[in-house]
Amino acid sequence: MELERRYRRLLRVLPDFYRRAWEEDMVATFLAGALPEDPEDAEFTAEYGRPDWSEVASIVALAVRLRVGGAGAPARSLAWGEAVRRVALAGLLAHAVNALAGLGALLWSPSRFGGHGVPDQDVVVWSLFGLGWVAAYLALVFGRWHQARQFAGLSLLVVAISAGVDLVVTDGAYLLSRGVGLLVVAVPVLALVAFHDQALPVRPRPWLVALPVGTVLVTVVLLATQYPGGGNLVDWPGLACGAVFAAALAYQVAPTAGWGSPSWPAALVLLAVATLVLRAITLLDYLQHTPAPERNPLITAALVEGIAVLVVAVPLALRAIRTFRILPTATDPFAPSPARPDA
Amino acid sequence: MLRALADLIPKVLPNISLADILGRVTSRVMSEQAFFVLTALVDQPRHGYGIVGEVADLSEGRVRLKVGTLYGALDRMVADGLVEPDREEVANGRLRRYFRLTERGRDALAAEAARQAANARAAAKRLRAWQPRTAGDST
Repeated sequence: MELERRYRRLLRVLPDFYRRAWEEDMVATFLAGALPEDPEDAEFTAEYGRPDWSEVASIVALAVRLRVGGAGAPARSLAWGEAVRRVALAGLLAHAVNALAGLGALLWSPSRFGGHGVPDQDVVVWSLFGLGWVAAYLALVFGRWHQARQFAGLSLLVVAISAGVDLVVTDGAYLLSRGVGLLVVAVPVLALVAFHDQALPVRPRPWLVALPVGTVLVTVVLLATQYPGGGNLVDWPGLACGAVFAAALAYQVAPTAGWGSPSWPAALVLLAVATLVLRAITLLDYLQHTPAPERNPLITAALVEGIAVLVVAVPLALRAIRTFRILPTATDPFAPSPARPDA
Repeated sequence: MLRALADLIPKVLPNISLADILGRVTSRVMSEQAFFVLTALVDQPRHGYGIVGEVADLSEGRVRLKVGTLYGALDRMVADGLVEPDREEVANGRLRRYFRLTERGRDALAAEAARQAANARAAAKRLRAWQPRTAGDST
């Protein structure tokens, strides 16, 4: 029966432990509802029918909830869930810090942006749109996950429109880096799927402190690494590399100091991969488009940053793999579970 | 600095309150689907498709459970001890697992029904007391 085969193929998005427990039941329930009573119609549907989009959506949503688990999920699924949630938090924190530092720089030194002491109106508008990331981050930290998704989605849309406008204005220059950059910006927005109704609540305090501290640090680093002519030796991917390097190093030095959960190495590795991709793409841009006098220091800095992240990310990845391997993947769905921590 | 941020948040996100934040952590409201699934199991154990049909009847067609939604809810209810497997049967060559409500599930459903009834009573009382303004009213 083709319909059954197609439905079983769809169910492969669910974790193995879950399919072992529920697949036959789910198939029986689905077919009982999908096949019409009339034998001829039933035969036709069985051969040519497909699960409709709402059935597909319900299975995909279930798969997300099970794979990036929350309270009551098997240990490995819960660890993945926490890792992805930390990627979302850290990524939105980076976007929020970037927006605040950018806006601060604009207000503090407007002549650098407009050339006449008054910032260009478009630059101001785009910078103000960046505050959407701050709203998304704060909403996430305070448990307003639905609003966080809305703010983050809108902010991503603004970034996409801005990148599109830039591409048109510059005749398609930096196409690759802008495209990949947009994907990297989208990573924490996509990671928000892990904030489902089983997700564990976020501890707001450390994440709240991180916002002003990060903004001040980024502003200081940008000011300290300016060179004559208005450029920065440390660019945004460089700052991201520095942040990931520092966090990974801190984890290696003191893995149990407040962040002993197995999710942290996995989250840091995911962030390191996104950062390295961004670093590699912008390095190619420097090679192709930057004039010779400025190119060499920028390329040297980019290489050092990329290698530094690699050096800390590889042992962290090995540690994450080891840790995740020993975590149990499944619990017996018919055994009563202990009380949930968020219930 | 934290204090300043705490003051800023209500301006950025006006609907957030401390009670709201704590409420999210300390309690979880039963979803409509879960409510109807538990209600469908009150009178007798049912299998998956039986629950789908019963929920559609109970909600007068308003709630149509998709398979992923149903088993997502059942999985959590089994884990929470609200529902347990009753028996397995083979019908038309396919396995059918029947589920029944546990005592804990019955209590949870009764508590949720009481909560919803109290809400409905409060709304009905307020609606009965409400008088539409006439055209001549200036206040």
